[in-house]
Amino acid sequence: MELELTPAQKNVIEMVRWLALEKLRPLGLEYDKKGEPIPPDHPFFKEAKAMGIRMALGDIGKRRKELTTKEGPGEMARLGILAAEEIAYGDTGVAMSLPGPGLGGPPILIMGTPEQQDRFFGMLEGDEPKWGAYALTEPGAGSDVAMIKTTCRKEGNYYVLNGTKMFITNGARATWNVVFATIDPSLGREGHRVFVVEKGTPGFYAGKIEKKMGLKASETAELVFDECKVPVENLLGGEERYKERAGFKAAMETFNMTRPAVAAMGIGIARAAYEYTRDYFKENYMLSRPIPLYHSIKEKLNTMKRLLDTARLLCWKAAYMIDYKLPNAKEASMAKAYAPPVCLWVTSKCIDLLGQEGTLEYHHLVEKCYRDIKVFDIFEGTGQAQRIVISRRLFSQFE
Amino acid sequence: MAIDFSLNEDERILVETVNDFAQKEIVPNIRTIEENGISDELRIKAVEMGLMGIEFPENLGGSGLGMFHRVLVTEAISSGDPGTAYSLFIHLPYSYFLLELGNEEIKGKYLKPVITGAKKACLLRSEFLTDDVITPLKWEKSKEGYKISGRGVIEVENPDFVLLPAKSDNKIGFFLLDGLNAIEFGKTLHRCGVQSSPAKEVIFKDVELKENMCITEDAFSHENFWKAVVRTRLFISSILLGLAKTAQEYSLKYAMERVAFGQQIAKHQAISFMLADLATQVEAIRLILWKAVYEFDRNSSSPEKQIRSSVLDWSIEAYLQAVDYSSSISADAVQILGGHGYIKDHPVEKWMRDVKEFANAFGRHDAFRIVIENL
Repeated sequence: MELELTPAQKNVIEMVRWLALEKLRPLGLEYDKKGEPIPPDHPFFKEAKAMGIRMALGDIGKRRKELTTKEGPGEMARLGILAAEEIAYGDTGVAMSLPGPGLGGPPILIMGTPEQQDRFFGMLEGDEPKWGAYALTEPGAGSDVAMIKTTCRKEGNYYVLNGTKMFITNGARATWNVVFATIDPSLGREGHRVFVVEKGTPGFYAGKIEKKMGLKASETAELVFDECKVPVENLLGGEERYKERAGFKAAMETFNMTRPAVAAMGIGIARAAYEYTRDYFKENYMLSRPIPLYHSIKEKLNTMKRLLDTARLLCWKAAYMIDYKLPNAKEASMAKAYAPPVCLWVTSKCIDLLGQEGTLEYHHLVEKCYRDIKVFDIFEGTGQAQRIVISRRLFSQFE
Repeated sequence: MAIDFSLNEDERILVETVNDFAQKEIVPNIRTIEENGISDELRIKAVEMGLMGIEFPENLGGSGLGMFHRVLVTEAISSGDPGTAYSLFIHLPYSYFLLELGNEEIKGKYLKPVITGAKKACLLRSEFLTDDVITPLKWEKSKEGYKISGRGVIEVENPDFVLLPAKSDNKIGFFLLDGLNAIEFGKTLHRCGVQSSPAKEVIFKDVELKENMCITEDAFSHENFWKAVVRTRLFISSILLGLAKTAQEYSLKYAMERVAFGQQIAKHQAISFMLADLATQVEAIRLILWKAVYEFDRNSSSPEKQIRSSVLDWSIEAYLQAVDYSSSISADAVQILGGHGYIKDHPVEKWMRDVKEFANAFGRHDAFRIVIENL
């Protein structure tokens, strides 16, 4: 057992934190005020790509051998969540807009043939910033993935897709979207197929860009598939791969990789709120006494730190299990079930501590954190969906 | 890559062996132990397995391993029954203070026989009394050596040695009592949980101690005092972890068997979400406790003050997390068992009583909530 970063890792994290504060936070605030996503041609993205700032699992393309070979433990997942927390600490809206395969990376890694992996990850290389995206959620299917209604039917060398996806992060700007569809909704999980739909494919277009309460700098798109013709080469893994519900399993395995990272991002936001509030109190007085002398405030700040420290360790554990190639569905869901409510509580308490001032728009950073954090208990599976996963894993030991 | 939660082969075997021991020797006898205390037979078995002093140096009869091993062992014993773990390892707080504050002569004479199981010892406690927060005992210099007066509580039947925290002006000293001849017994305390350790009030009326029975006159300024404090806290936290784990597992097992409204109650979502939260919280306690114990084992010989305060903070965080979650988990376990949880046919009611002891032993948890120095 070892639970401390190496000096080299600490240096990397220091640097990421500096970038997060210097670059990401001002940009995130700017676009949060504008209330719109950062445009894909914003010079920051090119700069970010050149500097190697990536979203968690952003280098999945380059590091894919590490995950697919049987040899020894890797380190991508653990490095990924460390970076995810720091980047989100700067600004989460920007963090989610960073170029790279995004949540689309894991399904290509899990399902794709080596040729497909080379092709799709290759498309994102080069100096220009490029995005991948993950399109699973539909108006009638979120946490319950088995309910998706987007259909696909084979016609010659093509699959024809029909349906609508929503809440897709970076969906409109993405070079490709990983799209989950079904050959027949009545088949449930058996019928799932996973495609990579490239930008510009006939019959595929982006619908409206959502207005959200937080994460405004990040693009959340509706995607429409209207007789969209996708070449068979873009069916991930090929036809034979889809025996035994492989499509559905790919969605679930993706979550096992992404949930700890998403939970870690939530911790980054809450830590930003906590540190802001703590430092504000160090320098300000209330009723002519330094605020830290008030025990109830001190106790709250201590509890915040303690809960965040605990949540972080749950994320570390789930990520460690990915790197050691251990089945981690339960632990990934534990991290995702535990961290967001804790983070929500922390940001909410920070506002309470700052009082009425805390609720003013852009007066204190905490107000933005409070809006940003809520969605972390919703996307990548709601807290309730996580509890369903955890309890099923608990029951399975009796069956 | 330095984030690694895996146990090595030796640690895995240790956990397995101790778990086995707890399931065979403790679980079937929970109520007997609660009524009669730890039997000599059980204590001897634990001594033979080397569980009493796994973290103590080999020249003192221990195994020379770290606090991490202590946490693993205690969790395993405590997941048999936490009250039993407390009574079985009641010598540990005593031993930690002797280990960190005592000189070689004291350790050889008063610590080694305790670790090897030849003698029984405990730390005098005072939290049950209202006189003073830290200790109601007073010490002063006398012709022979020291004079002790006041009262306290011991938790072992006829201990051979008792370690006495006592104060004079603003200094807290630690003194050793060898044999009980000089003291008087007061009333027996009946407490809510941990009844396997009989708590008895002891009264000191100007008890004379020889010069060499003083461990330290001023513990707070002793450079190793904080280590004994952290060790004790990690030990108590690991009992709480075992308590949380066993309450969670017991209620899960019951919920899988009990049928209501036509299905196993575990399958009702109200219960299944509770079970998911309990399991998550047990994991949460374990991870932060591991982090705290890792920080201690890694830094316990570091002279730097800054590191020391960070280790202290981690141990407090782990302790508070353990207190909060194990308190709610033990109550939730009773809730899941319903009426059956409230009667003595099932052990969950005992764990719900026991938990209050650990939340207040060796420093009440609410006092720690404001002491972390991050402001």
